[in-house]
Amino acid sequence: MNRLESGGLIDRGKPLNFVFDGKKLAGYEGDTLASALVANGVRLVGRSFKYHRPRGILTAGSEEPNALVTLRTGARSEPNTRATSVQLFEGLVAESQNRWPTLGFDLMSLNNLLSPMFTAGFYYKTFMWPASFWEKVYEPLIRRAAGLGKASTQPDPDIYDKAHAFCDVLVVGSGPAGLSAALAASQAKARVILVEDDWLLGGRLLCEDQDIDGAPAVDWVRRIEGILTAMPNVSMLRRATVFGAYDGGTFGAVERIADHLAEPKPGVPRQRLWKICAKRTILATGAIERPLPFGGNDLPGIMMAAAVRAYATRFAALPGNEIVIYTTTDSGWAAARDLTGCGANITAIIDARASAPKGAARFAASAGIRVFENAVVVDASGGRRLRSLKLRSADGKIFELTADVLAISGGWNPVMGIGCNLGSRPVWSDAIHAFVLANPPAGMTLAGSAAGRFSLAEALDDGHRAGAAAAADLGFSPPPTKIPPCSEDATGSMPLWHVEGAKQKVFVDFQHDVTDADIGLAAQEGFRSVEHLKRYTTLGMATDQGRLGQVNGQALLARHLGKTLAETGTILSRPPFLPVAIGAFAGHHREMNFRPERRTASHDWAAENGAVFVDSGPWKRAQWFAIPSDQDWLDSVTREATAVRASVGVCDVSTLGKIDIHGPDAGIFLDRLYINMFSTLAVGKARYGVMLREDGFVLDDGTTTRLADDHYFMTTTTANAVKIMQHVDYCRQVLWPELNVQAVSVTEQWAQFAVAGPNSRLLLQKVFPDLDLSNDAFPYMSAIAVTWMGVPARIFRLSFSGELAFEVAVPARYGDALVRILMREGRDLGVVAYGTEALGVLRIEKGHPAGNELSGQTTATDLGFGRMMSQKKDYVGRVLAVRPALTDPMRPSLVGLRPAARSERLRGGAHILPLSSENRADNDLGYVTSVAFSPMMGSWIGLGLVSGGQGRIGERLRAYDPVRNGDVEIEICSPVFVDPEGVRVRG
Amino acid sequence: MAEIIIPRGAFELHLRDLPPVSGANTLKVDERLESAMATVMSRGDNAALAARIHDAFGIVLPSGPQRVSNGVEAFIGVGPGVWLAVFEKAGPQRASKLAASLAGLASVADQTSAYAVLRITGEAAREVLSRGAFIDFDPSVFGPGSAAVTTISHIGVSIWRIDDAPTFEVALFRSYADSFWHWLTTTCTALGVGLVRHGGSARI
Amino acid sequence: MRIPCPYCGERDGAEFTYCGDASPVRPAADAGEAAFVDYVYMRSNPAGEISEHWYHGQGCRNWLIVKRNTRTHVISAAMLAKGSAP
Ligand SMILES: [Zn+2]
Repeated sequence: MNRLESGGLIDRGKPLNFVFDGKKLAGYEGDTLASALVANGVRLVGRSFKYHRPRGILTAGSEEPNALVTLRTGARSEPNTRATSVQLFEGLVAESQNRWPTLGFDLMSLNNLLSPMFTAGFYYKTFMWPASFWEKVYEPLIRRAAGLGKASTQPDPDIYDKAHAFCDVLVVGSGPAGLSAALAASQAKARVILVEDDWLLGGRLLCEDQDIDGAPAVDWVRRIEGILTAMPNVSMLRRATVFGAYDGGTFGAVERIADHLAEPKPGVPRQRLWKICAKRTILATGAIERPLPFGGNDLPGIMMAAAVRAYATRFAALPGNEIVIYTTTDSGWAAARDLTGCGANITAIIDARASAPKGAARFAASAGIRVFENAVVVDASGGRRLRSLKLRSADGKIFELTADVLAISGGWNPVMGIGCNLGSRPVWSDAIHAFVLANPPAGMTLAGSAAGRFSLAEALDDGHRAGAAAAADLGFSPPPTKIPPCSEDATGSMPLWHVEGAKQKVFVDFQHDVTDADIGLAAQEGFRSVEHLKRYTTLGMATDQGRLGQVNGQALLARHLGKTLAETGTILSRPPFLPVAIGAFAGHHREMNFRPERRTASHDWAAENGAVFVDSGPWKRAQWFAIPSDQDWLDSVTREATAVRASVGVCDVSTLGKIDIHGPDAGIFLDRLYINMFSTLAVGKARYGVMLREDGFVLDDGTTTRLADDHYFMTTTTANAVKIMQHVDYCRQVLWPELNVQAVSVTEQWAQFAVAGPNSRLLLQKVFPDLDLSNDAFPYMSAIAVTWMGVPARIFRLSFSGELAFEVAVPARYGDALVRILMREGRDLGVVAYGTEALGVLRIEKGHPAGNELSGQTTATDLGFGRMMSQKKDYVGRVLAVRPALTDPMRPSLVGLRPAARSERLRGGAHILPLSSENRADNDLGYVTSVAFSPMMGSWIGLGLVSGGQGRIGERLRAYDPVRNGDVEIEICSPVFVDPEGVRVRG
Repeated sequence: MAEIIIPRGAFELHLRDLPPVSGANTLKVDERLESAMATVMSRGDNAALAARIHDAFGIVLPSGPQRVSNGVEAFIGVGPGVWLAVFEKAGPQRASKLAASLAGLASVADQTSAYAVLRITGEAAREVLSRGAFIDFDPSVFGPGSAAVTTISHIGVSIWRIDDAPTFEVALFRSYADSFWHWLTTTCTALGVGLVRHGGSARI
Repeated sequence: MRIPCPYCGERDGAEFTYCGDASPVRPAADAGEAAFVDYVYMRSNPAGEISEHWYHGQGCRNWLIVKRNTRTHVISAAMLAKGSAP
């Protein structure tokens, strides 16, 4: 065991059992999976992406490129989980990845020997030819060899949640800068949201032995946490990551509610997706330590110095017994001091700089540590773990040291990814040897290490100033506050990008196995831009998004090009900052609840009566009503359609869009919307109308009724209801604001039922006994508003079926009552309920165009409405509808189709070709838009759009359907199959 | 036919299954079935309309997204020159009476059946609603009398706050009631909030 | 993104429908085909400030004119389309 006897933020009273690669291990509450593995002496945790090299834990944070595991098993298994970010829980099961068959013995590590093949751009170079090999050979090979973890193939059993929040000041990160910023802003009474990735607040203060206000920094953290918790204007999200910044001060964050539990409690989401709207934002996201270049710098046992420090101080776990520190920073020495304080055995410190920081020599001497100044590590060696390293002093002398841990510190990269999301470009600072965000987006400030101010005192001061300034900027008055004194920490560093003479591979991007040599090769092959370098070498394209090695790679490119980093720059990061489960974006919108659905007032009644529902946009509509004697759906539909023609049927048509149009200018307004006239319509009358888009094609159709001089009731197709409401608003607000017209959707107010068939009047007369519905009193296309049992109702004499028919509307609350009464009163007439399929049969028999014909590519003339186009007024689409191409007589226009042999079935979508012609596109005359089995005709019939349509009546063509192997001889006929004289409808 | 037709609440079946008693961390919900609603659209002279409404109801017509109530009638701003009028304990003909009284000044469309209105009361109401709506419900921003038209879980809603309890009402097109209920119940479960039926007489 | 609706206040972009350049004006009825072709099909694509139509369909149902910078996405103003010149 590598666990220290005391210290750390772990609870030794709460041991936790877990399994890694089948081996039972134990840790404590407060551990991460990585710290527990360190404490258990586990070195090897994964294999690298390309070369399958053995890899160990490198960091202690979310930037970890190596220790990626598949967490949990079965449906909850999640690949590529960073062991460094997983809070340990009882029963945790994790598997290493990218090894086959085992982690210790990995056959794919042969790739290491084949490495010349895997150089920069290897995808582009190696797998180019022949193209057909891609799908069958190359891709499976690459996937097998290079795949990281595997996603579960089972449905995600967890639930996900969404939430929104608003604040004055959003503080991202709760290290010294973040806490200090949150405190300052909240004491000024600003509404503050503090988001922390970890389950504990404190950031670096949890991992360093520092003092604030004369006491250990952790005490200060707890004190500030207590103050913030007590403030009503502060919300804190722990275990949450701000993953993206979006326009207008909107941020995306994911809160991991139950990822630290074996499984979520019932009903509790696993993760919650937050949309946060912030007036000001303070990024206090800290910094990430840079690795150092030397041969074999990826061997297990080589770790970031800050990580070794964190494992020792926060988790009381020492990764090794013979530790060497290799640094170009003062923080490397601070790590050494903390480690020594924990009782770690540090044998040597190598500082590549000309001289070690002030006081270093005294510290090293007192701790018995050898110091190498002005020396670089050239190579590290060992098999599956570090055993020794070679270093070279300035005078060229080579030393060999044994070590089981090499803690490296090559400088610090501020974490500012979120700040770059909106296009702000980081610039290189020679003062701190790092990229900084000099021009963050409006409303955003960076504080502390994220701003390149790395010392603790700077962080506390910076955070306070940023918090107070953000609040003051919003009009709050920050009270005067004293910034607490703290330990001094030196922040000197020297960049080191390259080492000469390394015998082994020098890794830059550990997760994607991009080496120093790959960067050189890319430069040699002409790549000049950091963005191209990224794509070509895959530097920074792995799941860690290059947080660790990106800058090192860019520095190497600059070096090869003879430029500075200030000139070559760095890439812009895009959201998400960390991987986010797709489930979190979906929230509860999955399966049955994928999207909201709309149910009509008769839904429950329909369900009780055997309705099979169909999606019509968001609506659920009864498609047909199955009764036990029906053999199949066609039986049901035919029975329903036949009954309507023979007696009477009831169909819920409430889903049609309904728009109330009011105002003194309502008539003129409708004249401009429709191709035909509505201002001349008499009160109490309805008229069928067609609307065009301004480009001259048909937009929608429907019946509009005049209920009063200044009140029309418009109906639209179900599919276009929302679009037409928007169009109506456009026309009255933008095109003709001078017209005094008001409009509002009343779709939901009215439950409306078609009552169709020769006995429809008899049925309605029973339900509305006081009304005269005779032909004389209430002719075709009439409408009347009545009171029915105390509630307002409307009756329209409209027909979509071609039969004597009415539509009855009542307030939707009474729709259920109305349909039950209609069906009860119609029982002795043999009334049927009919669904959308029978509705379709009836309208196809009458040749009424519907959705399939209103395809957005048809004109009024194509659909047989050319003569409705008024010459007396302007209307939307009038001018462009008469362009030559739109009035070409050979345009496909609406016709009826019937099979030459009555027994043949027609299929929608079939192409219409001359009888003896090749199946070629240039012989295409049109296509079948709608088909139905017509009980009246005793055969399948169809509607189609056929070139020169009306002129071909009687012509024999064929309906060719290569998808379903259909080739049916058809006859072109009038689209009106039933009652072409229109006698029934006026009956 | 000497029968009575019964209006059907959009949430009726869901509410029936709720327990009637409130406990810790519960949210009281109820569907407002006894009120009438109408969209009132100004014909241009907002001042004259406001005067007419003030005369008739003693209500100062809000010019923005607010709800102004006299205890029985309320006008809620939902757009420029557009209000939702809500009348407590009003019959099905209330909208046409309103239309007559505002003739010439406003167009009125009966929406009594169009909207299902849920009244939601309880400490957790704000948090539950903010899970769904991207609206700032902080009391400093959305106090009693505030109103907003927005979406919850892709469903269009109008939300207004009534009192300090806090009580909110959420109006949505009734066809969405089942989907909305799914959102409400899953959200409450996730927050550990229990739903109970609004006991006693409805307050205004 | 956030759009400051003049009626509803600042709202999430998802409540709005983008409806393109607001500057084309519907020609007079007798303007002829060429004018309508221009109006319906021809759009400039400026890099910088543009006036756009956005429809607040999930809010107050108003057509807005939104002044937006296509380079920075900064929205400098939003007004009701009714009664405003683009
Ligand atoms: Zn709005």
